[in-house]
Amino acid sequence: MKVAILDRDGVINLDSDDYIKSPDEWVPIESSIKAIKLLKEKNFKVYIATNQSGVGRGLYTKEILNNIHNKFFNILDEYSTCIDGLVYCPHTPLDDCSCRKPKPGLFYQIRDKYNVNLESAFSVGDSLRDLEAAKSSGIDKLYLVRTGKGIREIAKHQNKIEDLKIEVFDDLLDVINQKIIKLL
Amino acid sequence: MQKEDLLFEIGTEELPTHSLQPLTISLVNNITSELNINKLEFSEIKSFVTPRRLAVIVKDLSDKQQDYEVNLFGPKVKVAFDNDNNPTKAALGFAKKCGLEDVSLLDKLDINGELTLAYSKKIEGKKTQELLPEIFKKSIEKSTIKKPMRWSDHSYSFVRPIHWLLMIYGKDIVDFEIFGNKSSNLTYGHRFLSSDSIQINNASDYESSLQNAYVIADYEKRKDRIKSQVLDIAREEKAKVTNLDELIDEVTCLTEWPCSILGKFSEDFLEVPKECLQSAMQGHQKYFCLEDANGNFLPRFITVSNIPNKVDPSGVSRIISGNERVLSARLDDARFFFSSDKKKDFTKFSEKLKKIVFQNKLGTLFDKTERVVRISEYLFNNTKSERNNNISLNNLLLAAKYSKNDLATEMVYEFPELQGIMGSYYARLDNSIPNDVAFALSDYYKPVSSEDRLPESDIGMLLAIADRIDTIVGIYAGANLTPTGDKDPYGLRRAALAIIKISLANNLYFDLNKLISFVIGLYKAAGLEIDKSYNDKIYFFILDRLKTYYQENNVETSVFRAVYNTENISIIDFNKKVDAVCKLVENPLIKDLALINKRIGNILQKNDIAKITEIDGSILDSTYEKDLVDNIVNIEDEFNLQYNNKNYYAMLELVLHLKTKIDSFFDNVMILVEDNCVRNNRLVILAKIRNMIMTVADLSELYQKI
Repeated sequence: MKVAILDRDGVINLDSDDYIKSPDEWVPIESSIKAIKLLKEKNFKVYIATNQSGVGRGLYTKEILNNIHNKFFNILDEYSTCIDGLVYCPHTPLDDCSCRKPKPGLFYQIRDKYNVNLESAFSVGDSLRDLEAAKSSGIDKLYLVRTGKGIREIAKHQNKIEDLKIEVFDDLLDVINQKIIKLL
Repeated sequence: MQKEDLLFEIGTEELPTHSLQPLTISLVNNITSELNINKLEFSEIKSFVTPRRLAVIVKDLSDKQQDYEVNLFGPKVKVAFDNDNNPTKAALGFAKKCGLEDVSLLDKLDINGELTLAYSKKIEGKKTQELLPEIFKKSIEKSTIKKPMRWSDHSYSFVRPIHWLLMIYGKDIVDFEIFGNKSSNLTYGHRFLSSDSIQINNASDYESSLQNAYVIADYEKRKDRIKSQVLDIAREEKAKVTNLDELIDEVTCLTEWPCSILGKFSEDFLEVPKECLQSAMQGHQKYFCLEDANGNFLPRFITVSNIPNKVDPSGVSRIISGNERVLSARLDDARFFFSSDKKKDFTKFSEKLKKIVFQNKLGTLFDKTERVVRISEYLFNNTKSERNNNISLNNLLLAAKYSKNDLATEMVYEFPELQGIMGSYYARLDNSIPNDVAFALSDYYKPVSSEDRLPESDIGMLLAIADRIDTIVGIYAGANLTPTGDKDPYGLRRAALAIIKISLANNLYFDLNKLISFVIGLYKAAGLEIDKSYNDKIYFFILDRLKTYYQENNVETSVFRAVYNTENISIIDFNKKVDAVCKLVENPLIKDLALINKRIGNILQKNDIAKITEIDGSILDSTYEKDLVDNIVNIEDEFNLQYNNKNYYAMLELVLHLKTKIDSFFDNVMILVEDNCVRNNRLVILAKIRNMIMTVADLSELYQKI
């Protein structure tokens, strides 16, 4: 089974330090939607794992988050594609949950809920903690993108990125073109 | 009780071939039901049919009706006897009606709490002989006759004029008269080989007596005889019969004493496409055609005559030469059409289509192909499929453009059944036309019948849908010729079913409603006025055909209805929902989900919700209520995602997870409270759950059976 596990904010849509609090604030990165379509055409299972502490902080409700995701799904539909699953962590750092990245909980949720073998998966994120979480869950193929927080993260964690053998790309479509399409 | 066999035979003038079997079947059915109504016992009914006779033998028919009882009810006991306990006039009158003199023989039964006089009267069964005329009169009058005819100056009508009537029960003639013929025990044999009447003394002699008079009355025996004769001849010629199944029933309906003969035609004709040869031989002459092991036609044919070979050997050679002469004239024509069509530029035939009317209000065939080109392009751009990535739009449009060209050729004018096939032939001879376009020109006509194969090529399947949706919309909305009952002159039902089968088999995903609007738009652009309501009418007309499709595939109608009641974008969606519901039916929890759906439906029907579409979290007070809403919110994301994935089973499973929460909500929360806001909010919660279920299927349809 070919599996891709992606972060949401900064990878699929434009990130905001002010949180994404409504469907209007959720703006897709068009090339990333095309990248998802490409992955699906190459028979990948595509899952999203995302921290949404805004729920725990009371900035927006789960209902609003559902609406945001519905917008995302509808956009995928316009491109005649879809994803296979989405999990999120609604907690704040203070809750000390097991799912907030860099902990691997969300990846385990994907493994159990959708019956996925994580060893074969690759993971894409725009921050180090996305990929640390992936690494702890047993994923070796880790790709960082320069969209979202990416550029800041590269400057900040140069050494760790090298330690974890994380490869860096321009954006999600670049990852897919370089790592997936070329190898097939 | 005695039992005898009954024989009934009507002798007719030559019956139309297509009427033989429907007539026999309906006659047997009618007789069976009439005998049952009259409580007459029998063991079996055997039917016989030839071009000149219809007959049935009812075996072991009892000679009288079974005795039976009729329950009669009289006056109430309190008015039936006076104070001295003497019967009143009412009681005496009832006793008389029951054929009794003594009132005390009557029963007293409790009817609705009051004692009432009653009697079950024994009725002695009537004699079969007396009942038979009425039974057969009704059975014949009720039988299916598509085009009845009248003859002479009589007022009655039947398929064809009647010449004799035979009816015997045991050895006795049954006194019966219909269509001006009185019954006898006489029948007649072969029209030319047996002149005198034949007396039948017993039903069991019927078949053998006719056999001696050159008539094989049993349909299946006659059919088997033809089959074995034809196959014997083919074996001697080391050949295969190409059209045995298509023709054998018709030939069986044309002969009483079938004799198969081999004939020849000139090898020169083999340059004509074999489909044309077969059309000429099968359509007009009812000949069986032969081909060799490589599929090449042989210059041979088999004809089935109604005259036995042995009677007159010189006659046989005359029959052969006569047939050969007629055939060679027909094949000459076919060869001429083929060569003269070939000389013309196939692509230019579209000019001639401008003079051929498709339908009065819908313009010419040229107009139709122009629309089909546009629809094909629309389908190409708006259909999702794993397959049509390989299609070149250019070739698809070319195929659409030439799709009706062959209708202007002389060959198709003479042999209409060759439409498509000839287009493909002529296109292949034209070097400017790509091969897959030529192939599609006949491919898109499939499926011709309900058992036929579907188009094989990618171009063929899109073109097949484009052509059929154009016909459906045009005839239905433009010409306003809605199919009614069994009348469907343009085959719209078959066309709709074909669209369904092609999309399902090839997983072609397109928005059916939008396709219909697009086609309606084309007709409107041509100046036709089409009411808005036709969009929905045609949409449901096509979805209605899915019912037939699922019946053929053994899916319960309730499952079909459950999905039918929901909003469906494409035929593929519809089918996925049906699959999901079928899979869910195996889950014991479906009953719970169906009950929930029904219960919520009932509540919502009685209580209109004011316009609040979102649940107001601030006025949730009961913990059960909060718990349910939390759970709805938690599954909603996944629900939407699965909706996007068209994974309808997963969607229903998600709602199933809510089951315990919904139950405790119903058990512990009062929904119809005084406070308007709270009540509305609770109704919105319920509406939300129902919407989730109804997105996939109206499960309350299934509730009726579980």
